[in-house]
Amino acid sequence: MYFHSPQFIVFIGLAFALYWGVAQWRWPRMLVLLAVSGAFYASFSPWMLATVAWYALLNWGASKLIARSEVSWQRRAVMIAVVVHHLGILCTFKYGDLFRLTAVGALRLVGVDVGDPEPLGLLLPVGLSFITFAAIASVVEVWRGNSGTHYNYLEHLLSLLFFPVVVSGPILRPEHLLQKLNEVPTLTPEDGGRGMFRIARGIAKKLLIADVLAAGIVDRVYAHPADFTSAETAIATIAYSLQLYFDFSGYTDIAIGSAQLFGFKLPENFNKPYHARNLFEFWNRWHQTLSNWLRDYLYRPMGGSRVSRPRVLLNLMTVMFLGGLWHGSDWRFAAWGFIHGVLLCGLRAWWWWRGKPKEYTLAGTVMGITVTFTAVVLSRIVFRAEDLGRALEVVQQMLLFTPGLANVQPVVWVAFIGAIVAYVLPARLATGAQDVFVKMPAPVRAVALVGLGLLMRQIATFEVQPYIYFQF
Amino acid sequence: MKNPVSVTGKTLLWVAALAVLLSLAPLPEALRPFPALASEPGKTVASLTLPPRVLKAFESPRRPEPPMLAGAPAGVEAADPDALDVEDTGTWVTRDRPADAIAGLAGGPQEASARDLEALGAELGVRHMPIEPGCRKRDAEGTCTEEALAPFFEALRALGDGEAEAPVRALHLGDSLIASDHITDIIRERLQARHGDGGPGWLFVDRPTRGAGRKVRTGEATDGWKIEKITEATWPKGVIGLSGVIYTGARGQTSAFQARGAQAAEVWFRTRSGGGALELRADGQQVGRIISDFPDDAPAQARVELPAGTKTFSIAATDREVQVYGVSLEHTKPGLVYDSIGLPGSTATVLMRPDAATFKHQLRQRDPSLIVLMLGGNEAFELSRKRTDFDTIRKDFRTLITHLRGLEPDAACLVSGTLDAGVRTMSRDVVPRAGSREISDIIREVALAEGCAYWDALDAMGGVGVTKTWLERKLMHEDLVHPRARGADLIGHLFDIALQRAYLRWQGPQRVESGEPLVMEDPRGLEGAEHLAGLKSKLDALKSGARSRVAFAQLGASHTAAHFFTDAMRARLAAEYGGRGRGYVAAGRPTKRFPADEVVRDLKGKWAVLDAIQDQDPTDLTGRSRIWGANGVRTVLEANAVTSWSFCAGCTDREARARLTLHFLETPDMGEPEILLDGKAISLPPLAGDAPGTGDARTRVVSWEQEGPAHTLEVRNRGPGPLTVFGASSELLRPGIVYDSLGLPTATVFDLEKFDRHAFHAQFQALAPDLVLFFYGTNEAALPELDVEALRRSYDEVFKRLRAASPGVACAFIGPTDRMEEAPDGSGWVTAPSMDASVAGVRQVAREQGCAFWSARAEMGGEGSIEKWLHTTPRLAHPDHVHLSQAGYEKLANAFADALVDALNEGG
Repeated sequence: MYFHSPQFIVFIGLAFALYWGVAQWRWPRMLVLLAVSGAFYASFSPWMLATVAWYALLNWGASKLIARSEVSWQRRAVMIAVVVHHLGILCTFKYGDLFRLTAVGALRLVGVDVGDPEPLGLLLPVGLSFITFAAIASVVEVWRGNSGTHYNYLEHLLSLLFFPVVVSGPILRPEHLLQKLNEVPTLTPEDGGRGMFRIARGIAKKLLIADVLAAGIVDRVYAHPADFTSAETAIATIAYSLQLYFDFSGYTDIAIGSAQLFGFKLPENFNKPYHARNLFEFWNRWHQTLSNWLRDYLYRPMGGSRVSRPRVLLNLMTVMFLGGLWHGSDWRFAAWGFIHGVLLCGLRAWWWWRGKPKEYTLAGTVMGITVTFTAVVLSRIVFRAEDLGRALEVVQQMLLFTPGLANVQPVVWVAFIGAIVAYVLPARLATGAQDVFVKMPAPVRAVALVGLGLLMRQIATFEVQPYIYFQF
Repeated sequence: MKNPVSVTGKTLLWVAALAVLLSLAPLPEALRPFPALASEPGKTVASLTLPPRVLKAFESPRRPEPPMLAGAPAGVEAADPDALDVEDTGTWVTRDRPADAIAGLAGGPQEASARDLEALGAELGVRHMPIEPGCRKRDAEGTCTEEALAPFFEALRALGDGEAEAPVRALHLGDSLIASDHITDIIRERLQARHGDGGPGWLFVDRPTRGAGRKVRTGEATDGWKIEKITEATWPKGVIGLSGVIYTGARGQTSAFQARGAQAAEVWFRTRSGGGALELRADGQQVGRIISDFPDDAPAQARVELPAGTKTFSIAATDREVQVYGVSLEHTKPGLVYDSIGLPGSTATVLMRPDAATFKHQLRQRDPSLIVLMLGGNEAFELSRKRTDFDTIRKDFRTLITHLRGLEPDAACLVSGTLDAGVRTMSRDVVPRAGSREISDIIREVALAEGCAYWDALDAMGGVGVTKTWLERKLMHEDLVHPRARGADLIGHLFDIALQRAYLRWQGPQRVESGEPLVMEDPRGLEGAEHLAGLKSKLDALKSGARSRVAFAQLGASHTAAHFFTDAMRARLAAEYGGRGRGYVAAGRPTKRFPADEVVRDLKGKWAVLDAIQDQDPTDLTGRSRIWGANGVRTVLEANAVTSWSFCAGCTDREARARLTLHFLETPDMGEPEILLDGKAISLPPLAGDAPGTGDARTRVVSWEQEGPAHTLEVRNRGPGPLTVFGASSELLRPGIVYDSLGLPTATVFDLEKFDRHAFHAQFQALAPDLVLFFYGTNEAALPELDVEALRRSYDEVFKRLRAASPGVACAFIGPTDRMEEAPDGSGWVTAPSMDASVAGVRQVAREQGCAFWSARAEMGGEGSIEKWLHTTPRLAHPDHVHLSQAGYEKLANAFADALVDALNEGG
């Protein structure tokens, strides 16, 4: 059940009714939330619920052990054991085949042919990457003493399974959620209106912009770059960055809006990332909860910036390389992370040499945004292409400098320009529209929401036009 | 203060109410959030509230497509059945299963690859679609005298027999699917593995689209070649030939080709006044020089022998511009050469663009034994853009195929339908590309009409819409049109298997002494119609006005017992020759299965209905337990029980007289029967003293004639002993046919053989059939290993009895319907273990007994066809993969009746 599906709208309506019917009682409230979250997750992969339940059991057990032990190394050992376990599960499910193939290839390089072993064929549980990070954060925070150890098993389970975040974040520090779970929730009319507006906005971002760009230009160009002009390839590459932003931030809007309907406030994940004037700033604005997680649980434990300069660079490279690999089981994601690592290290070194600018002039801001955006967009060629070979094809095609944009349909232009306009518009406009919506009477709100839904469905059923240069 | 939650809750309620109201309102679909809510409320609500996984569980129990279904070659002329020497005790078989085609690869890497692709295909549910053989020559009566692929197969045979003196060439023309050589490389490798490697064949100077595509069928060219091709908006008129491309280069331009063991190279170029020269080199050493400066502007070619071990053959322009089409590299010893010439963007129209004289010259010089056409995708694209229509596509294909056949009349011609493809909607859903099925059908229609063979690539892939699955399995590019390398390999594999099966079938049956079970030929149509000559004269007489009776008795299992088949047959034949009423109806429980206006059956009191399958008594030494009615059923009435039949309530011929007949068992200890005809008691005639029987049990068949057609026959057991009744029949005493349905569910001929022979004799003597039809075999097919010899012996015994009871009776066999079973590992449905043996065995028995034979399975579509029948609308088969639906039985019966009536009407 995807966030942008009609099923989710029905689901959230039913869940809303159930939840608020019992909201003033702790256990019923929690059980309802657990049930709807379980149902939501099970709609993707029911048997994978067992994995989440197991994670929660370990986290709960670990928190109890850590609470009971007064010996520092024992507490640390428990924490490390659980973290290793969680990472082990993630690596096995997500990276098992990648590592196997890599090992086979490496052995072949040194003359050892082990044949072509059967793929492991493990199904990656939906959201396991996010669940793992949340679970690691939970146990580490308990070990650090920042999180309570009194939570019961069901609370641990719910903190991992909470339906607005279980599939793709934002990555929570479970303590925040656990604390909130124990408070009687409230929902003001304004918060409810904002939640619904946020959901509608997220769905519109996804269906009206991200999906249109993906189907209309990005997927086609990245499937056969040689069939498109350099200009079209460049447009597709830029469009991909817009698609990615509107897709993921749209998803996050729906997650935040959904949680808001249940009285929870989730952290933001994006803060105008393409306004970033340098790459460090970009990572502070893009997928913020992941960046924060990597900072808190990887970068800083390795020493962060408080070590020797070579170590800082090494830490940066390590974080970006692993962060890249976290995005998918393919070395191209690692390559993408590596590219970002190199760029960040270069920037860091430059600042060491020339000093970090205290403030940006207008020209510096424009140049910084342009360079950063260009770096982000170009590095994503590796991220989007099916493999490194295809990424090279895209680059080669762009470097031919062939003109022509005949393959960009009007609807794609509308989405492309609409995306840019929507992105650069001041946030207050969106807030203003939200306020108007919030003040509407319920029937008018409903008309607006249904009308938006009909519009989105209409656009979603347009057939993507095939490319015209080479039909076959 | 009001509950703040309620404001948000109200909004949600308003949204829901508005969505529902709009959905139910008579508005355009675009304004209705859930348009299906009005017509399918339950389904819509379920789809919104239940996950797809749960929904699927409630859907119809559709099974996955069986892996690699094989279909019967529709419309195929049967191999001469007489060629199968029935007197010969050896086994004559046609090895044309997919497994046979793979086995021909003989253990090499090709076989391993084929098995790997088979496994992949099985997972995807692709199908082994046979090539429809087409016909290139017919005699004056329209009978096909040469199949479309015969020239190619003759050439392959000559190659195999060592009679060939030149390479056997095949030319595969197509669009980008062929340009990539992903499909054709596997076909080439397989054909060369089976028939010998004749060399790489035709190679382009450079990739026709510079910088795009693979280089496997091109030379490694320098950048300065000017490339002109027929797929461009403006192509050079009058110079382009077979390959659709011409390369122009001057001094400094070269192209190097991997020789791959070739011993001869032929360079295809164009002469013209002022043309430049080409230097030909083998591993850098000059082996020839071509001067294209010639007064005539014409295509030409020059051949050079390559030194042994040459690795690279190259051409180099040495001065002025020279125009080159390509290079062909071949071995000097005969073998198979498979040229693939594909251009992205090709259509049937585009392939008509080359200069006719150049094309003809080069085609004749290449002298292919086979021309394969694989197009249609771009036509579908043009169709989607409304730049063409079906009539234009039909015309274009007809023009192209006629053109090709005219240019190279001695070459075989094989045309493939288009592949499945998809398009994306803006929501990124993958939906089938419109027109694929229709275009394939058009291509098929034109191909067969123009004397080509046809292969349905679309059905082979799994039918319309499979692109989505192929995409998910990473077998299709994201453009939803082009298969990825492995997907293309699978298509090449399916094509190769189809071609090899066609070749095996063309080779005809071969004698084998032992080994694995093999498939007999199973063509459609009625065989052995000559055995029905006697029946034909009776029916002819009937048609001419003779006041005679012609009786049909159909023995069989559940297909017969269901009555749908026999009802349809009865109706069809009665319409043709006139009907005499319902005929025999076994005693039994009331059922709504019979049309109430034909017969109403009833059973009251204490009774037992027994049948020859479930109620056998192996301990019975008297043999009485094997006494059954003609269909293997008997009904035992306890004292005061009553069975009755009301016949012909809806008959309109009020003047007709009727003969009512009762079949029952007479034993010393039986209860006293009371017979009522239309409510009036009638007496039984005395039993002939010498009537044969089993022990003291004798089957009695007694008849009464009455005025009018509608009558009720009632049998009451007055006790004290049990009374065994078999059935009753009603026939109107007027000219026409009667069609008795004698079916017993789950029966086989082995069961029929065990029926008490006296009872069988007495009843068949009374039924007096002119034609007995046997419709067994589907249950035999389920046996782990059908013993065909035992089958023959059983039929021998049945025929002895039959001919004793009805001398001169004609016979016909309806071969078994297709049957599948769940695979032991639960992976899907597979053909029943003895399916092929059952078809072959029944056919063999038919020939031996001098009966006509009609294969129901072939009519259904051959191997795996029950699966297809299951997924038709209306559904033609039952999900048990054994039985048919009413519509299925009626369809099958109509097909058989057509075949039978046609055969009987033939020859005046």
